[in-house]
Amino acid sequence: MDVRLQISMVFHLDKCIGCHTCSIACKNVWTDRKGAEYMWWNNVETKPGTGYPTAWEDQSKYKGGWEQRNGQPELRMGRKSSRLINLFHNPHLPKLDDYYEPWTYRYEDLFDSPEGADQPTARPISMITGKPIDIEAGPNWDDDLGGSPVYAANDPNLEGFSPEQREELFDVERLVFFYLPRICNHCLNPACVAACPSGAIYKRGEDGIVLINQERCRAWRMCVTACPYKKTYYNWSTGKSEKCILCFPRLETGQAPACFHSCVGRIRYLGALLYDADRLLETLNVADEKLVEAHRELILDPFDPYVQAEALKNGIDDQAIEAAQRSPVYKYVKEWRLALPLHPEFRTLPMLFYVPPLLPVMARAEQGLYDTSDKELFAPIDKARVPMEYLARLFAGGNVELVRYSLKKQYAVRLFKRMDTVGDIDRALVKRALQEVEASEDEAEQIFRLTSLPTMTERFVIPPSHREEALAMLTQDLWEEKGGAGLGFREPPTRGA
Amino acid sequence: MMDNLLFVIFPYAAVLLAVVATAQRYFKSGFSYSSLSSQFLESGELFYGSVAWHFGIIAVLIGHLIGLLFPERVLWFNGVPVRLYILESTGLLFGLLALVGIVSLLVRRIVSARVRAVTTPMDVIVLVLLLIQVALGVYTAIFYRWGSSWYAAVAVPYLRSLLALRPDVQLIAPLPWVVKLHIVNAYLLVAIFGFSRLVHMLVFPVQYLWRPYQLVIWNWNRWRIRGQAPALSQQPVEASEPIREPMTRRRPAFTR
Amino acid sequence: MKGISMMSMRSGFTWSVIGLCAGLLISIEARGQAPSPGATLFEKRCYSCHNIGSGDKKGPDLKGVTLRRSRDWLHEYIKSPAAMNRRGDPEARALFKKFAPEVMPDQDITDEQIDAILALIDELTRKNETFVPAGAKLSRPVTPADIDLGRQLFVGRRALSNGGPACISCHTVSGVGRLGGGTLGPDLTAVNVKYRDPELIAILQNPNFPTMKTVFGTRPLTDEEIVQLFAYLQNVKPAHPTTQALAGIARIEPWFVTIGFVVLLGAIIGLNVIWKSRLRGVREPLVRRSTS
Repeated sequence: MDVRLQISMVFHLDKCIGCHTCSIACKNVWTDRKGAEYMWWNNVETKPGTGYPTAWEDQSKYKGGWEQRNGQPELRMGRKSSRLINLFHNPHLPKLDDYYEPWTYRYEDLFDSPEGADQPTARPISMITGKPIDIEAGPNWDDDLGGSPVYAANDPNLEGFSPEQREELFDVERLVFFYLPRICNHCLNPACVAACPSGAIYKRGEDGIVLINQERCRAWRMCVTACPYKKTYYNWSTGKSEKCILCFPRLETGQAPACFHSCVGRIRYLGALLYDADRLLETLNVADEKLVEAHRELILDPFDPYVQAEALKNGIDDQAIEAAQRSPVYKYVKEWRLALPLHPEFRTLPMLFYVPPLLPVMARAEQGLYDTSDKELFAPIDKARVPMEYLARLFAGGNVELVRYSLKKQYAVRLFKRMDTVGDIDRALVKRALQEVEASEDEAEQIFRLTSLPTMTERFVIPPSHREEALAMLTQDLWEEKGGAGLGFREPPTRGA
Repeated sequence: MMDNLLFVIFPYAAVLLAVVATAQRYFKSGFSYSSLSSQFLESGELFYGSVAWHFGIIAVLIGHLIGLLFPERVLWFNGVPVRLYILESTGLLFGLLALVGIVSLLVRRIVSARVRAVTTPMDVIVLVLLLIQVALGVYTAIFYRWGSSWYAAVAVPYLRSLLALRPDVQLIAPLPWVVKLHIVNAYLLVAIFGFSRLVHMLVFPVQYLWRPYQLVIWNWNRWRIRGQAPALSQQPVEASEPIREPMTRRRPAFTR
Repeated sequence: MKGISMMSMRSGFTWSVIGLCAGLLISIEARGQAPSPGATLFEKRCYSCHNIGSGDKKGPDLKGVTLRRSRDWLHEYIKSPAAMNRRGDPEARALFKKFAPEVMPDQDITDEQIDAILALIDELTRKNETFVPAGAKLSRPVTPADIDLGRQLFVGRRALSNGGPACISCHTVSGVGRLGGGTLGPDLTAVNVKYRDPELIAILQNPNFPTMKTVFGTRPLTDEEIVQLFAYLQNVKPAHPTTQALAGIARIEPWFVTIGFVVLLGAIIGLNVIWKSRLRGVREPLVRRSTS
């Protein structure tokens, strides 16, 4: 057993209001530089929709992630040798136009325009060339189902849906959508690490954060293709690739990442998970529908004394283990089985889990009237406006049962709390509901508290990173460090000649 | 006198400059070592430019290198005229491919607004010098054939004399100016090597072929810090592990 | 190039026999005279490009040069013509201009050696005789078999014993190979017309031309190789009487260039085929598809 610590995340999609505050927070902290304007390490997509970059989920085009070849996981991009031959031109690199050309406005025009009959306007200009452009796309161009006949209708997850099923989704009176905020998943089997020819991307052992070494990156831009979530971005100005760093400078000082901290809907949970690295390969080799369960199996119980002993032996300190015990992510993913990984069939073992949205399932429209009650217990789930199949494709590798379970449990908790606070639901009904989802009333109460009333310290359980120990390793003599110029002299990262 | 300057002093100075500038840049500002790919900004033309250019020039450079290392073998190979013609035709093909590529790259860099936005003067200088070099090379191949043979007979002894630190410029002094310019331009490219994006040649990721897929780096030696001995299951994973292993461990290191 | 009719083949053979006999006679005639030191030097160092009394070659006929120019001028010029030219000496300039693109290389030669050569020139000018090289003789008579042996040497089939490169590397002659020989040096098809036999033999022994001097200086041809190459070169023009040996160098071989371009086209098409499934954008085609 090779126990390792991984900082993991849960996003509760029922709570996401799509305000994009997380995107702005990250943008202002990290990606408002030249070359990074088009990057949104955190972005929020509308589902159904094509996302950012457009149709990123369609791996037949983008060739991201892993696939099973001869019983082994292999990068969909191709063999190692093909990556070296394609070094001169990556045939599967998404273009800037698949993201969008970043633009700003020539505000000076408002002041400098000559006198005329018309109101002066600030023309949109490209942030790359400085020339006027026609704005064709943005990072959330199809937000709130904008342009749905073009974008949402081409959602890759809808492939294979019959016209009737699509009707269900896009019928005006039954219209429904939800938001999908995304950051780098800091996967256990990152495709970006595997694809980088120069070995510049690596996974940190202490907390599992995947980083790109800016000194070693040589702009071979294979990582952009390899990541199936398209969360590595190429900085066109410095000639380096960049990605979400999970705000590790903040994490190392006990603060939540910027996007987590700023989340208005408080949908984000951060915690440590212990997992068994020895079983990674066998986890990767199971069939698509079984991937989520195998992934869950990989996650270890931090209360198990054997696991604790192995973790200590592996250099994980007891404070970190204790943080893993308090981890909200462990509860959502392993205990309550509410949260599911995004597109597990890409086989990167992402460590960002989503609680699928219940959406407005409580109300069904019948002859123009809404009916909030139902004779059948979980009927609203199956008659949800978003087809279960669609959610299963997003979150469970096609395994509808897993999604159904998660939604049923959430619904059961709702019933429980409604009985508690409103009192218009029969207790026996609630008991049956909870039984069916194998939950006790205590568990339901816990779920409720963590979902609706968590404090910051309950939502973000950050294991201490003990940087002072790293420092002891770096310099044999700490006196050298004391009185030194800090991190040494660094040149500002400018574009090579 | 001019010959001595251009063909004896200049090459030594250029190599010295290249070595010093390249090394200094690698250690002091390793960030600047990048191939500076602009494919993200403009991909269509780059396909023809970059692939043709790189395939062509790598083949041509390998040919020059083989001539430098094994001139007698080359001359022996060329002893049968058909073999000579095949070799020369192949060389011409790759030279033309490189020429097509470099012209395409240069035009693209000037015409495409997005690529212009990331172009520095040094980029243009490099492209122009490379264009001149390849054009002169192709001209030589066509008009002063058979380059593979007389390169091995005339130019290689001169180059070897340079390497042996006993320069003999008489070998190439009487060659046509096109050829001499080709040689001088090569030295010029060597001289500006460390100051330009050409350094990306040095970091070609050949190690990727044998590197395990996954890379996990610890910032400190956990066992030493925590004072624990590694458990049996924690034996350090050697690089000879099968590539299929998705996770492996590198020796603890701090990236400097 | 290679279309030799039976007629010309036979006439070619006739001509080669005549040429061989002539060469034999001349070589016999030139035998048996002990050369003066000046003559040895002149033959070795100057004869490739200069005659005395037989007209301009690559360089001017030197008959009477001691009467035309001063001794000092001659000494300086012979040592480094380029320097004098650069200096702006009007006579040097005129010579460079007249014989361009040929350039007399700088000579590593002592004053005594120059005096010996000038003495020879004086003598021949006085006697109104032409210079006949003493060593310009073959080591043995030429036989018809030598023609093909010479061709093998020319082409590089058999390597030169002292390590010199094959002639085809820089020279072409009519009929050698489908794509011809090299064009760094001059076309040697009519070389036996341009040079008389003793001159040709002398050149083969001591090619004092700029590049050849350094390459073959340390790797001279053996006597046997000289005989064979002599035979071959004598035979080229007779074997191809109709082809014109173009003056000067830098002649294109159209087939070579054509092959290159055709394969280039094939290569570019090949690139397109190999990478025909490369990504050409996702968003824009999607929008175009959906809005059309």
